Amino acid sequence: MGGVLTSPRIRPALAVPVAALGVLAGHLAGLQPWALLVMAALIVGIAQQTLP
Amino acid sequence: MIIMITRARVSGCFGSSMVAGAVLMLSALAGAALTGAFAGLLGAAVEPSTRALLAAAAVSAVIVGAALRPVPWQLDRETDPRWLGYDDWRTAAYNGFALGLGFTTRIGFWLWYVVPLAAFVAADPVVGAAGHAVFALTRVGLSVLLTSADVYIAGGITRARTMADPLALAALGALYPVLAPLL
Repeated sequence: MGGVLTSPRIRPALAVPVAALGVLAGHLAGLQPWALLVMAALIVGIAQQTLP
Repeated sequence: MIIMITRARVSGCFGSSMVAGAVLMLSALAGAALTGAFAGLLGAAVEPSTRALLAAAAVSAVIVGAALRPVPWQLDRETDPRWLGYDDWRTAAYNGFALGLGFTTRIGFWLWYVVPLAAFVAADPVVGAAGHAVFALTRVGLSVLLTSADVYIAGGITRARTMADPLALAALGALYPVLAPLL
């Protein structure tokens, strides 16, 4: 979403459906908290290599 | 990160970057395990319905925050630069511990909040500690590897957010169905 993600108008409009998709995915796939925990831990740990 | 490792010395005869890297890593694991265990314990300490309500409120607040601004709520600072002045194992140990804790320095991404929130929802200190340990391994372990390979990732945080932010929102959303049966 790049620069679009920083736009104060577009960002909320994109965020709501993505969060709703997450609710649906969590419901359908029966995601467990530990799976979300490990996934988020892995990805944010990698992403933080770009921290200034 | 390279400054943290190269400046770390472990009592002369152990003054190698390997030892410093190991101290950094172990300290990060300790800090992360403490944070995760605390979040898990907090979750276990409250009734399931209360936990669900607290978690739903926190998840909703983070979703709203992530929807409104790209930069997460965070302490916008690096690890204490004074620690670089120590000429011993403390540089690596303190930096590792702070990076493992995560929240005492810049987190950069809303996705970070999923980690303690999921640990709280899991309501198990062991699961919380293990999950946060995965964060420390990735966060600090990868930094050590990249540093030792002389690879530096400068900037790119905005591009990284284009991937991490939708994942954060989706993961936060996915916590709601987990909470529903607890109510």
